[in-house]
Amino acid sequence: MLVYFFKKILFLLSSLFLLMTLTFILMKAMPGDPFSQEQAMSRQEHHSLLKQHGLNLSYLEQYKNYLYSTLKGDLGNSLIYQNRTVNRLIRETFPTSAYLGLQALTLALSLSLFLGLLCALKPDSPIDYLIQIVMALGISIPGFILATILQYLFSIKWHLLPIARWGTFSHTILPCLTLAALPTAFMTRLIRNNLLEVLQMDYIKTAKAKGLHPLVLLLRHALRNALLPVLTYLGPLASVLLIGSFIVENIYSIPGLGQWYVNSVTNRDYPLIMGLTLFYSLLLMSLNFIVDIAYGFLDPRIRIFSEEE
Amino acid sequence: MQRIVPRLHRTAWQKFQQQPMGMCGIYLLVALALFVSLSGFFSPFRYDEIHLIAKNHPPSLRFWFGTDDLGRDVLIRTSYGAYISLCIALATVIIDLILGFLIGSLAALSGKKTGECLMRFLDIFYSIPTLLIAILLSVILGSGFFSIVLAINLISWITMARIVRGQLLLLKEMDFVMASRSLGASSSRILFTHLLPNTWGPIMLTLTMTIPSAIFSEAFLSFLGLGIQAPMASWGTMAHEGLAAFQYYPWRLFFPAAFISITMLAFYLIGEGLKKSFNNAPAMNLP
Repeated sequence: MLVYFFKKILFLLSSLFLLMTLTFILMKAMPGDPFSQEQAMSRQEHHSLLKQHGLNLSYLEQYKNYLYSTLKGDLGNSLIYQNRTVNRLIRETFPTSAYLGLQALTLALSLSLFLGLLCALKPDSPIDYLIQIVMALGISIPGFILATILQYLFSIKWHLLPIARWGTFSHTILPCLTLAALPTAFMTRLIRNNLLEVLQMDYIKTAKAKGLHPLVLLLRHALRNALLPVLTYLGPLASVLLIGSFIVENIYSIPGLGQWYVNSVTNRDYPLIMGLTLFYSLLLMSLNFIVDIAYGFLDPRIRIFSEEE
Repeated sequence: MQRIVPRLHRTAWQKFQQQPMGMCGIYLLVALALFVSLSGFFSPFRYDEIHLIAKNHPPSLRFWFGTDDLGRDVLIRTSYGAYISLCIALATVIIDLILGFLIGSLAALSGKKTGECLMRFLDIFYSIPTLLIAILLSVILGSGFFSIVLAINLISWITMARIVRGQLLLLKEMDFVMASRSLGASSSRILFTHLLPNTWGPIMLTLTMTIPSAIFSEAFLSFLGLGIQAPMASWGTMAHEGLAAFQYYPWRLFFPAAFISITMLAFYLIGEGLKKSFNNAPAMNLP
């Protein structure tokens, strides 16, 4: 287990290093410097600004400084908004995004578990087909289109839920549904197929032959093994939710970090884009790391195979 | 001996034809392609032709899908968008196949150490969130067709390389390869007649996932305003523009959105059909 753990840690660290190098190169690949757009500025002022931000040093020195400040946890400043550091922005707006994301995650997990079980109980029945068709639609309709459809039906046509903004629980329902649609569809399919596969195994047949109730068999013996692959999907799931949050927060005007990210892209606020990209990547990579460790912990086959390699 | 390969393909195709889902996907895609090419061919309008008198005109006999805020015909713009999506899909396929094949077989067939090192290196690249890097790249490169293709495909081919490598490693140990080798077949003969033809199944399956994800990425980047710029039209850009006014002019969102969804659905169905006919699913991939 320890070997496995250290392997994964080494992997995470090298990915992080590569990521930081890549962002640095991309940042330097942009033409001009952050202050070259300002017109009313003398040469001297320009030079002192560069000096203040350490941009007059050699690339190697800048790279070293960048790595150092990033490792210290300083992700930089916004160009457009005065006195707004990336760190402060994350502190203020990320909780909203995280709340929405967790709510969608809970919904997706419980809904897909329920639907997947329902399908696997009676494979190839009408209800199985119905669920599969709905899930195929869930996979094919992009988030921004689903968001618009939901807004139109529930807010404009039937006046049931608020169309946008943030505050009470009723505000969270539509964004949460939009965000959860794609992961629910994926996981339902995953759970259904895994369950059907596991149900073919010998130990299930043994349990069945011993006269176990089908429901107990499904819940206690089959589900446990069928859920393992779902755990590996949690990494990609996090990135689906993240990308979804950019769209959902934008369409429903939710004051979360995703909204700011999209704004910074639209405003071409380069340091903000870089800082937030770094933050998001860090978040996803650490989540993947945690999932890997948990997987190795729960399924000994994985870590033994990895150690032998 | 030489007839084994085509026959193998034929049986795979026959198996695929028995999958209603997969065939549904194929029919959908063909219908879509026919509609788009016919409408492009027979339409009296050009994609950037402006009719200021008929701004935001609802669907009618003259403009089947209505017009947008500059009076451009939505139908012809939608089929032009299909052309853009097709180009992006094609570029993805080419890049995926060339790079994925080359690097994948290099990693599988070179020595164990080299292959392992190469794969670890790719793994590290692979762990970086693709779409975030794509956003960064298109911010820096500016918007345009080529920067979009580059941004989308910079990392996506790694999936293909991993699949090709895995498949080759699996096949290399199979008995029929051993038999062929003991009969004195050269390495290149084994590679081209035994190994590569047998990788097609998983490769096709991977393509049914990478193509829609490329089309989706384009739509997503366009949604952020990083996509194809006017007067060119892509489905993502059109949906993005239509979104702002959808309460008043819903057709401007509806048609491009429907086309995106139908394309995604078609590829999903084909993928499901392939999965059932090849009967071995590759690792789960991001939608």
